[in-house]
Amino acid sequence: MPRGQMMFVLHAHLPYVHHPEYPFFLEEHWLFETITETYIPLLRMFRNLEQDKVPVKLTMSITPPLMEMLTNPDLQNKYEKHLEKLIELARKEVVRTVNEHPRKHKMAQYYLQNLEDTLYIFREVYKKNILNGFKEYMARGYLDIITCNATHGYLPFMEQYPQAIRAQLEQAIKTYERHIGVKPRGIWLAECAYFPGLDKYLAEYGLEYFFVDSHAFWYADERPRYGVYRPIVTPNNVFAFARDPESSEQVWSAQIGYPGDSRYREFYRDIGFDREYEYIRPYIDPSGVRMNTGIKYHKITSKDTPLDKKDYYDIDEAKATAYEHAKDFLRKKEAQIDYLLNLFEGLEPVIVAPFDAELFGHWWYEGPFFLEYFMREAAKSQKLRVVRACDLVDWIEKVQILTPAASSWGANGYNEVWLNGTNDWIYPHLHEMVERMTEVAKEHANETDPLKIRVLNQMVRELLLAQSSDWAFIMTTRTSVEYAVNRTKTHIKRFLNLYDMLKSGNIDIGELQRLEYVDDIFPDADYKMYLKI
Amino acid sequence: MTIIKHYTTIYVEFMFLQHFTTMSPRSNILHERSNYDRSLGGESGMSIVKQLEEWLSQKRTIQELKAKAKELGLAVKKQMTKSEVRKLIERYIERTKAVQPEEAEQSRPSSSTSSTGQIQTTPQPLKEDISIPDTYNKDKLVAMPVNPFWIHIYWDLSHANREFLKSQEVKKVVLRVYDVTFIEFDGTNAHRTFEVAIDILSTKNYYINVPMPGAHYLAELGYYDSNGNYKYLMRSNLCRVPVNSPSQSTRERWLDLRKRRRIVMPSEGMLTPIVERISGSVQGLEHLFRISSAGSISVIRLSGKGM
Repeated sequence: MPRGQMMFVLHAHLPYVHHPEYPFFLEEHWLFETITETYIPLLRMFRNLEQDKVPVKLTMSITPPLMEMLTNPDLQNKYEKHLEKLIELARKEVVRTVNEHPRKHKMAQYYLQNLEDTLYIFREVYKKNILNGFKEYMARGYLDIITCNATHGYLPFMEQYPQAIRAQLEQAIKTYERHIGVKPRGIWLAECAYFPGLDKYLAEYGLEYFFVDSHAFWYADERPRYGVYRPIVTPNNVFAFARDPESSEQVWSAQIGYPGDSRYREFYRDIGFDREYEYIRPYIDPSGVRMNTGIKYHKITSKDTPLDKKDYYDIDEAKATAYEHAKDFLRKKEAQIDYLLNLFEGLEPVIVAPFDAELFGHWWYEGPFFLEYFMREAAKSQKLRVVRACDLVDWIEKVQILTPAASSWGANGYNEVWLNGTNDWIYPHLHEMVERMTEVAKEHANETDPLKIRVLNQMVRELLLAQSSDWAFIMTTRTSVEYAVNRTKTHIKRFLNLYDMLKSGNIDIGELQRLEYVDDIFPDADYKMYLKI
Repeated sequence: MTIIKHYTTIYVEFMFLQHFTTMSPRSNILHERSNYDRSLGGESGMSIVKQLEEWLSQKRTIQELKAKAKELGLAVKKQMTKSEVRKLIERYIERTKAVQPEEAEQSRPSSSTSSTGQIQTTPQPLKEDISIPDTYNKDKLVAMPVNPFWIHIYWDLSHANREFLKSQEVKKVVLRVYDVTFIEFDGTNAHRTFEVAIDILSTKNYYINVPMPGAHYLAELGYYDSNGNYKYLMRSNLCRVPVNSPSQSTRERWLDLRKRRRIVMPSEGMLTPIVERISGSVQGLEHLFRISSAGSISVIRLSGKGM
């Protein structure tokens, strides 16, 4: 019996944020919060499903900056401390809520238990390196881990600099190999940003498949016979998968999306803001500014309920809701598959549902439960089979040849999120940096002076970090802008200083050492990547 | 051809019309703190509330109200009336007051690489100079695709050319855009040529509205000399704007991976009917061109929750 193939793709990414010179840095908490709320819950999901012998199949991109952060000892120790503090707070909450609403007390106990488990998993099971967890599930065939551009650089804006594209790809592959032990087969293109011709570079690096947004197929150079419901192959023999708009809509949409359900946890009520100052002071930003702790007692209640009128949250009610939604989602997928199977005269449709991993758990607290329940229900389905991207690439026998259209998955589907009045000022600098990097790489193509090589390689790190699409994105969203602007300027300035050192021959070893310490991504960065023009 | 100066925010407005489904939620991690600050008063909560009340007490147009509401991250709908938007903001004020932490006065967070980033117990890392150059004193003209109808052009100039363009010899500085789709451009054979006068002293870039999705454009920076002759100074890279409609091609190519064979056949089109997204509104087009000073992008946040 032909079935529909269902592929969940989770894109796990955070920009590289590591400030070893500070014991506490607010933006490092982006990582800490997602470890607690997304990455470890996903590992737990794998463990639960494996125990119950449910055949889970998932595709995940874990980006090079995220791999570097998850394996960085300083960040690991900072996270451990952060978690210990949080457990201390959770303990106090258990005592304190005895005299408060019973549902608050129930949740306080839940959080304490949950955080203690999290610490156990982090420290005892994975010895602080949770990437090893994902590797294990990959080795056991549940998970396809793919890579992503080295620093999530936006490749369409590097089209005139092949060496910059190659460096983003080559560094991505090297980083994956260093952490995972094998070469990646697939790649998640940052922001799904594609332009015709990019496939040539992917093929050069042995990448077998990538992902694009729906309109990349709809507007391809020839019409895709099966729309977005079958992979295609590009003229350079790289497979591409396109996003199913229906699946995204069902999960995301403002009207019908699951995460907005009244019984789910309210993101914007957190005891970091609700508790009195003296009590919460030790658990927030040391400068005294309140911040999220992750301990939240309220549910969405309804979209129109003001924040201070929200009702209390109940984890069991929320889990039951997630189960309901998982079954509903499965029914919708089966109906879609019936329709497509009929339309395709029996050829198996492929439904690709990509999401940012951080949606699951961090924003949608119950997301990992939803995913787990979906996998459990899907295992019983007669109509649907969950698959990984690599499975399809191995199985497919006949495939249409197309050149996908230039596109991204950002607002409006093209480049304007990363190029508009708020962030266009960065590109003259990014382009200039690529040109200078190329110039010095050529001048020092046969360099043997270890000091100069260090300068050249640190220039690569500054350039790659400046290219992170996250900074341009944050400028567009106009929140946390100061950090993004400062990060961009900092990397530009450091790069230019290094360039001047190299040109003048006056190398300030102390400064070089400092930069190697504060921008400590990619120990294997190699300036010779920029010779590949 | 419409030209919009470099500080345009038209793209910001475009984004409201777009589909929400593909925005990446990760982004929300990156700015959740600020959203929180907004929704609960955060850093300087009470004074913001006071300012807001004062602001609201004056006569405001619906556009101003909507822009403010968007800035606050409230769910403004296009069809909302003035009093509805006003109510939305009033509700926000009430809510902010209600959940406001007791302490109104707080110091800055340890965010960003600026001088506020340290805690008191450790020695402060050096404050780094992060001033970056305004120009690299190089002649350069770069065209970048924004979307099917817009390209972004930026330039930089060598000292000599910057001076030259200010000289008597130069009557008018212009930016030209050539449609050179599928041709070897020799300077005279473009399908279409567009031109716009630019103020070279005050601008470094432009957004240009171009007519043909999928076309290849080439930009040129030039000038008219005292005799009225056009001369070009520098040319850009080739800029291919994206397509925005299905292919007209009537063939299909297939690859049979078992037999290692390529097959070409006539196309019968796509089997799956699709519904493409379009922009539109009940209010005419003027809202597209309203310059929004608000941080209105926050409404596209996809936090999932409460949308």
